[in-house]
Amino acid sequence: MIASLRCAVVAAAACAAALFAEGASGAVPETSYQKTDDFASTMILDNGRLKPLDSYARSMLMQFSGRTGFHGMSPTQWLARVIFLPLTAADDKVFLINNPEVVDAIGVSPQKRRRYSFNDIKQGYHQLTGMAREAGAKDAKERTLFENEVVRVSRNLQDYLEISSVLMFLMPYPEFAVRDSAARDLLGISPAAEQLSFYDLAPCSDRIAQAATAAERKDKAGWSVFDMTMMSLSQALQRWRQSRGDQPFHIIPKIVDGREEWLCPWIVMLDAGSGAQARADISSLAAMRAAFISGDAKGFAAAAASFNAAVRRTARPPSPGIELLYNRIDPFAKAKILYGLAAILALMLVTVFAWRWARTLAFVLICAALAPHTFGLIARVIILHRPPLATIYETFLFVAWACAVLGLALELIQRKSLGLLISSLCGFFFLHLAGRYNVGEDSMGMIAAVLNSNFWLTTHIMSVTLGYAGCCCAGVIGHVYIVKKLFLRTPEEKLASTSSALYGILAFGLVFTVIGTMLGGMWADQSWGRFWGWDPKENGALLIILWCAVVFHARLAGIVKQQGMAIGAILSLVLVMFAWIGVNLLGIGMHSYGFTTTGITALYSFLIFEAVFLAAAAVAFFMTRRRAM
Amino acid sequence: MTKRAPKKPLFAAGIFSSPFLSLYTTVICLVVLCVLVLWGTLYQIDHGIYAAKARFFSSWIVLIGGMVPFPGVRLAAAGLILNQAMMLVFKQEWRPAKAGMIITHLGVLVLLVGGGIVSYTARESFLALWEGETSNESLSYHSWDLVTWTKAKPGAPWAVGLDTLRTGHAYSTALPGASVLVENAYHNCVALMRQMPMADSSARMPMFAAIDSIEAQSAASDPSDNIPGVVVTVAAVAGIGAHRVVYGGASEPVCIPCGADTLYCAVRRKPVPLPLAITLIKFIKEDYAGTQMARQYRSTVHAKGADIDREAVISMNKPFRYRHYTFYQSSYSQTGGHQSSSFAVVENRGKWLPYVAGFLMAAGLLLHFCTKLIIHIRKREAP
Repeated sequence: MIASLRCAVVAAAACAAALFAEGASGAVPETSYQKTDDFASTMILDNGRLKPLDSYARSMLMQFSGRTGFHGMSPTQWLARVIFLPLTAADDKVFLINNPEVVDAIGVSPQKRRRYSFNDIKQGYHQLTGMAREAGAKDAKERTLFENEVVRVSRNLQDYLEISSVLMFLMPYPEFAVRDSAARDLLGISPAAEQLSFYDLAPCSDRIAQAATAAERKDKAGWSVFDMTMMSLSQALQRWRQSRGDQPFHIIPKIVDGREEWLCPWIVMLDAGSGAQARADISSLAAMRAAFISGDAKGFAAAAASFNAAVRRTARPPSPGIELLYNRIDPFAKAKILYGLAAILALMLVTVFAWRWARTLAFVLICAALAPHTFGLIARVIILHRPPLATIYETFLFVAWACAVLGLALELIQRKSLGLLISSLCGFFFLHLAGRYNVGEDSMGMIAAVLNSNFWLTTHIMSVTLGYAGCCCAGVIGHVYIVKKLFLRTPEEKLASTSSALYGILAFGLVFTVIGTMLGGMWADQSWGRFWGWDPKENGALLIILWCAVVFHARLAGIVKQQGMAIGAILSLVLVMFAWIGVNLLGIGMHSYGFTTTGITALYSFLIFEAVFLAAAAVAFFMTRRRAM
Repeated sequence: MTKRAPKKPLFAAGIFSSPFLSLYTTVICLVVLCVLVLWGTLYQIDHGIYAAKARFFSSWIVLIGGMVPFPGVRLAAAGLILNQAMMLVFKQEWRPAKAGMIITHLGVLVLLVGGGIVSYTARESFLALWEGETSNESLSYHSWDLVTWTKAKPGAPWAVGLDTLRTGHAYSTALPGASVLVENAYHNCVALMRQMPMADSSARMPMFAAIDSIEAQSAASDPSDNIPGVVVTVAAVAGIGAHRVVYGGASEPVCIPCGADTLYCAVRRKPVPLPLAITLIKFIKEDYAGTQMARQYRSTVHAKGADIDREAVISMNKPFRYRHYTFYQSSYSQTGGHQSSSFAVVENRGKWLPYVAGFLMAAGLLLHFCTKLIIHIRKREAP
């Protein structure tokens, strides 16, 4: 581990040296954006999963810039620039620096869109890494916002350097220059080739070593240009071999002891025993690079297709089709827009007017949103071979979907536009929140060993999240009830359907939260040896159950009526947010795989909104009572 | 539509028409539980889960500010049990339409009563084994013993529970005639080291670090992290007292020469006897491809007891059960090519109670929810 880390650092340093030394290998021609479909479907082993390069490029670009596109380029086109033309790509403004203090600290002039190129940052690179080292030594909880940003940006730069150096051995390099004609003749190099790469010289390494050994035996004073060239080449080759290790670009498969292993091109290049196929793979990469630099779109596509075909002859990676489609459609972004449009219509339908065409349009928009939403969830099941419920990001996607379906079901029963509002508002809000949790990370990453159980993921988490969905929908209905009753002064009799919907949906939430919590206890009993441990996550679910029980029993006892139920439902929504988002922020307990610092702003904003809303409701309530008296 | 007259409950309340027969009591108990759960959860941030358990979740009374009494979870739960039981018997209408609610509340009762039983009877310990190692006893997380044994009879140790030790008292040892006088006992402490010359002067490292004294520490937030220690004076047959520091974190026992024999003294976790012997055959950690992140931990063990003699696999989410004992994969260690696996061992005679309660509650709630939904839809469809 330490050795590979060291190698990675050394490799990054070598690449950094190349990137820092402007024009080290001469000017590289600009290339037009090429069609990279075949390259996008090339499989890579990353983060414990075989995925198409398109997904890899997408997650890297998202990590660096918080976006999945760059100046009209697809993520794969950007990645191709970074690995085939690293010196050109060094001007791409892809590094997002949110904190202006960090920009000041590294001496970079601030940019309007907060995005910087590698060349912009490189002058402050050493300063940044120094600050990141100091901040990294601290416990994550004790770091300031500035330090967190420094660590993040520094890590991004490090990752970028590693990616941009994966094909450095294909790049011409000054230390591999062969000017002596005798040396050229010996190595079979054409006179036209001015500068050579490690890849060009690697096949001649035996001849170079022999000539260097012969030169070593001679007196140094009597070395000819040929001898000096051979010594220099031999040392350079040796230096490259020793200084570079594993790199994060495992795209070439190899069968070792019957097991499939995926290697990075540099390791394949170094490994003499990789076989003819591996050398052919490297040749395909070299052909891809040459075609990309020269702007030969057809040649590039052919080389990529040939590389992919060779990979599939050696290994059996999964088909990238569904994942490429998922990436291309970006289903949750599409669904969010459609839910958002429907929400505007539904809000007007519930509060202002009740036009039939608007209701139909909102219904159609929600159905249209549900299509990509459902596709996205199914695609994740197919790609990840597990239910899409293992991360907090995925729970948002699922709850958004469940709320949308629940709302539609309510609409089909009641036909009062309330269901449309629930569907669209919850769908939009939770997909938006999911997007906030998807910044800078691969949303299809590995899951902790304890979560690696499709049965419990399906039963426990699905039930609990359905419970969350029920309580969230009930919370929305609670808001609608209070707005109509206290702010719009709608008569009680006209709110009967809203009230009964609230009762039913909150009961739905309670039922599934109870089932999910009991299943969670059983899972904990199977994994940790106890049914209940008062862990914050468990307590969060228990709080929801207890509170819903309070609301129902208080209604049964006559302590509260419809209005009290509505307030209770709103508070159940607050508790859901505490159990769902807040508990992960606490950073304590057995559910450590869910810990995150994301969502704190969203949670606080939500709590402030609810506090203001309830305070306004209280004021309206007392004013109404006063007027009635 | 005429309203159906409510059916009578199973028993008339009579003199039992106490506060426990009121829904108000249910609401109060639930609200108190809400407050305690929320408070206890937030309390964990600064004090840890064990302190929160002790103060809120396993207590009858919570003292606010050390003075004002407030019901603890046990008291609130006991109130709820009484309330539920009495409501079911004296107030609940026992008719098919209410079946869902009755089953649900029975489930809640089983859960609360079962939770109480389990919290008083379940015992947790752990078993750490190297590959090839066998043991028929696990070790306690929280309890420690002061153990002595002699060189002549290493298999006959003498132990006294650290919780029962009293400062200034002398305790007999495994060596007849020798005793240990407890000068100080620390619940949690750190050892202070000093350099000592090696007995063998030809050794390459002439000095080694020995425990010189121990320093008291405040209790760890997780009691299993506490490392206790004892300062004792050993009075041997010869009558000369030897002052010794016995530290729970030391890898070697304290060695006291007593005439022809040698007395060994150590502070060790209390062993918990198991009804079977477990041998760790193989431990495997499976990683996600190309990473060092674990996908699965799996231990192959051989279990041998009075009525069992077979291999079993213990992995994440798949424990091994034998009688009232359950063995869970909890941790592992890989050092110098050797691997060890740790199992959490739980002895729980009421482990099935939450399952029964869960089934009853889920079935009851689903039944009630569906019944209500059908009634609601029929009402809407009625002309």
